[in-house]
Amino acid sequence: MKKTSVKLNGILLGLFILITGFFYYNMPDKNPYPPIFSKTYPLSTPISFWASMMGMRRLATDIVWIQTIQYYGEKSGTRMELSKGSQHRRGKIFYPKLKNYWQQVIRFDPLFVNAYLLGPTTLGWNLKRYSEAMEILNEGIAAVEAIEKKADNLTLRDTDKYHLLIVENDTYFNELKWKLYLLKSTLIYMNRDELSKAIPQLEKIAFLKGTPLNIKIILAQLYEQENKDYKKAYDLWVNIYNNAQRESKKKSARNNIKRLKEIISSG
Amino acid sequence: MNPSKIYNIAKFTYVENLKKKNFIILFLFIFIVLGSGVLFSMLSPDQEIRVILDLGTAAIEMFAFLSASFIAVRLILQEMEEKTVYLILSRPVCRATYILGRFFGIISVIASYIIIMALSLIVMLLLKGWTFNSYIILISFTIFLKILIITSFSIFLSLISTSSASSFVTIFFLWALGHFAGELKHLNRLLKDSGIILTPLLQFLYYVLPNFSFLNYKDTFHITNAGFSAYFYPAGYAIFYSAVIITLSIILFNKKEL
Repeated sequence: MKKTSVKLNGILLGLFILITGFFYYNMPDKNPYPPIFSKTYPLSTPISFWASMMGMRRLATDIVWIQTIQYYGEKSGTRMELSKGSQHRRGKIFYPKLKNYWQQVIRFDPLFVNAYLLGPTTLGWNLKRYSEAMEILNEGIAAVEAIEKKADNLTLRDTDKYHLLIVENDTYFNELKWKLYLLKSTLIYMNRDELSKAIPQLEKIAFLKGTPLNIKIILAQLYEQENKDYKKAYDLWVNIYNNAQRESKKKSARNNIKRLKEIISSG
Repeated sequence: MNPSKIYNIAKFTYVENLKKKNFIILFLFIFIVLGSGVLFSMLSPDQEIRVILDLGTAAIEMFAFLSASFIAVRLILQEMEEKTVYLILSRPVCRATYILGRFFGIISVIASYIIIMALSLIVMLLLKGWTFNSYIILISFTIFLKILIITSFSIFLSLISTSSASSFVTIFFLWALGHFAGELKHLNRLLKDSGIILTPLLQFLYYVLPNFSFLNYKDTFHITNAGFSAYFYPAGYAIFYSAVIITLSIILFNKKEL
């Protein structure tokens, strides 16, 4: 009786191992994140190690994101004024580590759209550090393309019904890549001082759902500075005021609305 | 093995855990989720929902992991130390029934914890203006699948270990290594390039350890289509993996002198 039970347990064990192997083999590698020990994009910080061990990479991205926002400062509305001048004041560079911060965010989560929309614009437009902004965008494009390639490999490897990634991803990747390339061309125009060419590019992104207000703020500034279209700039600041959640942004929008109202009424 | 006996032991385990008031941990979770809601609306208003969702799902997973491993490691070990296991085994209950009953009891306790925590998170997110999406169900489901594996390991370890502390430390390392599986593969390649041959060991670990990175939908849900296969393959893997460990536990328990 005991021998039969031992035999039965052995058979069950073998069977379960085989079935587990079947499921394991068919499981797609959905992880979109580059490894933390990557040679190209190293991320070997304690937080990345911890995030990897606990399977909490998105949460770690959020923590680094908040750190970056904190580093850049709450009064981003005021920082926008920097776009009129240089990043240097008395030989001091503003936010010297900002590129590293943004780099950490996108290395943690290369699919974090808002990090691309906010990072390169703060570096390129607000601080006039276009080369650093380009570096971030180029790294983002390379990372997204690598993930896309990985997803394509999955398409080749797996059976049709199993492409849980691909259906949605085609749209996701295309939209993300489109935004990255559009932003890159916008920053190139800005760097060459061809602001009139940058405006239509920015308009394409600014009004998409979920785009950070930062893009609209840049656009409003461009309407005013480049096109002298005060009415359009005024309308956009009203839009920014209505959508802003942060008090500092609301305050900045309120001031701009007041200023532009005076300009428009004075003719 | 009688299914009704397994059910009775599972039910007993469930009620026993409710009496021990382990569910107080849920209040801590709700407090953290509510607190984070207030905090993140100040720190990162643009990404408030994303941050609350990520923190909430991570907290569900950590609380479920801690509860499952503590309950599973302590329960059987304590019963064997205090000899109360005889009260059950002296009845017409075979050892396999006991292990299975305990296993199902613990996972039903944790399943109810996960459901309550997920519901509180959903309420919090809805209050913040989130539009309901089924991915939250997929995330909670895959968290439960990880717990299934970790509970079976905790039971197995409680049979071979003499202290709950060492069992818990081992479980924690297993949890970390399981999530690190994807990195292990890359690390193997890096070491090979540098001439350090660790390949057989790392490959063995990669294939034998539970690969939690496959079940980690809370990090990958945004690129996953929550269709049938998103549930089917991970569920199959987790169920049969834990079946392997539970069968090993039964074999071990049958041979163990109490």
